[in-house]
Amino acid sequence: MKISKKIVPSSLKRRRSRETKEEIVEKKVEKSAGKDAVELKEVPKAAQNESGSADTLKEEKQHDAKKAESSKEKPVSVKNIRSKKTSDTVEEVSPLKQLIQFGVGYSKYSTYPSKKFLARKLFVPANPNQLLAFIPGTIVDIRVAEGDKVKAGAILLILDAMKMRNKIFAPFDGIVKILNVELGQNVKKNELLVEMQ
Amino acid sequence: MSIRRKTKELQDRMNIALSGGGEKAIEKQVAMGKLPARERVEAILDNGTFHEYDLFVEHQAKEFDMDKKILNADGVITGTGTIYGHSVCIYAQDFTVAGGSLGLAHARKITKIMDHAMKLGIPIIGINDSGGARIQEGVNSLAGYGEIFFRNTLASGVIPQISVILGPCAGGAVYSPALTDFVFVVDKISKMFITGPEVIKTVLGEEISMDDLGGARVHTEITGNAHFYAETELECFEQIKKLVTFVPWNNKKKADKFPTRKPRSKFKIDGIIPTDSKQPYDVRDVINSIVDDSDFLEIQEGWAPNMVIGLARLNGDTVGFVANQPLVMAGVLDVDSSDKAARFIRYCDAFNIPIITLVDLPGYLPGIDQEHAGVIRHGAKVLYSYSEATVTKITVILRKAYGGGYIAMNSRHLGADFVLAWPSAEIAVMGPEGAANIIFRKEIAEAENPEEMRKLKVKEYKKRFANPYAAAAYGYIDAVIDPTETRSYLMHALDVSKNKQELRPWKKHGIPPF
Repeated sequence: MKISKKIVPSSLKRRRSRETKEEIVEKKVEKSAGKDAVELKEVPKAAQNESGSADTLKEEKQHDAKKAESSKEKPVSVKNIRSKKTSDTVEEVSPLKQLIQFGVGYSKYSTYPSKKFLARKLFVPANPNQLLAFIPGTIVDIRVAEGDKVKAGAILLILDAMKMRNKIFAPFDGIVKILNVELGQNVKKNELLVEMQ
Repeated sequence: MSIRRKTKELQDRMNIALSGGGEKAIEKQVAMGKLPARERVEAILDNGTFHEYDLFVEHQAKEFDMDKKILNADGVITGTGTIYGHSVCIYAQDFTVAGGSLGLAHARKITKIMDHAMKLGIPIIGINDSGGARIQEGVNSLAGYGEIFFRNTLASGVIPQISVILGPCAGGAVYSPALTDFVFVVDKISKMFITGPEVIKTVLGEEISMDDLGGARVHTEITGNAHFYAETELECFEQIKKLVTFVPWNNKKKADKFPTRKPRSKFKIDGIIPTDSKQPYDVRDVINSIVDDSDFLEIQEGWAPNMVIGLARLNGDTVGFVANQPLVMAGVLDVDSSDKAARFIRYCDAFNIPIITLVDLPGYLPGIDQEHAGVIRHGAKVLYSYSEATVTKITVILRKAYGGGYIAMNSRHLGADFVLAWPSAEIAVMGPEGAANIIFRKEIAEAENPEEMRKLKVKEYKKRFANPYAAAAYGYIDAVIDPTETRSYLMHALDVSKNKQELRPWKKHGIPPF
């Protein structure tokens, strides 16, 4: 109690002046979200989920699952919430200013998350059947149709990017299961071009 | 009589050259919230000390009717002056003249003032406000950029180089600031990127505003390219003046000595750190409770906030601080914070600024994104920089110092000159929970109540190893000190190491894990 009282206000002050518009908007969202949830013990978490992206939500879930597994860690402690209420109303705190229980090497530490950590993308293993655009560009030629049998090394598409006509080859012998692009289409990086079978 | 007539001619010529891009262009500049270039220079320097060079330089370009165009001072103002009585070289690009575009004559004015700064051993301050290369001059403008980058590199670590971004700075032009020591940006005015929003839109179809792509906030919080952020130009100039009081004027000198001042009484060093090592606190409070007048100039405040770096004074002398910030991400080392610390350590070493490291970290940030982002290579930069540095290196272990983090944060093993620890220090190969789980795995598994046993063993481990005395027993720590003695101990350490010399094997240069 004593500790958080001391820390939170000074750091909040320093950070508040740096908030972006985005964060202020987030705050508003939390305000409305927080009101309904004031009675709950897990208020800070609820508010965080409300404002966070889908990614953060997933992370939180994983986090929770981990917690349950190890059962070492109590859920968010009552002490923490109370101390926050005394220093700042729960509804106003943005995710960057909420103490989270952050695990490093089997121990959990009470700390603020960084923007980068909250925005990180979850890892998705690459699917060898899917050909993704390795560079953003335009599809200028399509040499196959769905259902075509192709040999490894056959040219499927031409992707024009950075003044270069890039050939997209078939990685193995197989069938074009999905052709996800049209002639002249602009594709983003990592957009699905072709799925093979 | 005749000389007077000649003086009159000089006056007339000067009036034309000083008019820059003309009244209209200057009005436009002011309407954007920007100061005219010459006013910027005068605002940074001491009153009336600016002496301009090369006012009458003219470009030699002929293509595209350029021979008919007169560009006053060729769009850049260069000269010398003083800040708090110390000489500096300065240049400022003038956006009102041909958009501050860089042609050969423009670049040669800049390289000349840079060479001047190198010979005189004084800092160079560059104000960037330019639309980019002067396309009409073709490859000559590229040559100009290249010559500037070359000098930036040669001057790196010899004289302080400060870049101020007060307008657009796009394409190749951004590499000059990137090569300098400190980059200052101002909200809504500074814009830095390699390829602008229009190119991105035509090539990739992605739409983004200039500010979202490379505005001041982006570079202070996301990329880490900028070191200081200000809301207005005048605030930015104050920051520059403050910074230059901390830095030595070249790599052979020490920074100016200031009168010693006690830390302000509101920072009580023994009341900051919670005894529970899992509770956060703001490490800047610790720094403020140690340094003169509690005056800590934080660098790159918005980027990688889990590591705090900055300059302050102890006993009137400049010192650099590198500190883990338990308030954010528990103070872990990660890709960005390693980068941030490593570069600052090399900066301090280049300019003879002693480094004080405050340690409280649980280790490296676990995560797939970190591993894939190359945390090995980036983390190695910290080891490299500390090991390479030969300035006085002092470490104070405040609380946690576990595993690789303990080694990386200027441990004795990397050549620290003084390693101190507070009684709250916990120096161990890993956190008590992890260690107990591994060492006592059998006992815990075989116990009737494994949970109870685990707690007991964690407690046992904590008692035995979560303290500074195991490390002190090997002499890895020089002294365990009362927190209230920190300031006087540090002052003593700096005092006795005044004449420190440490030789390294001859080499052309090392190969740091860039």
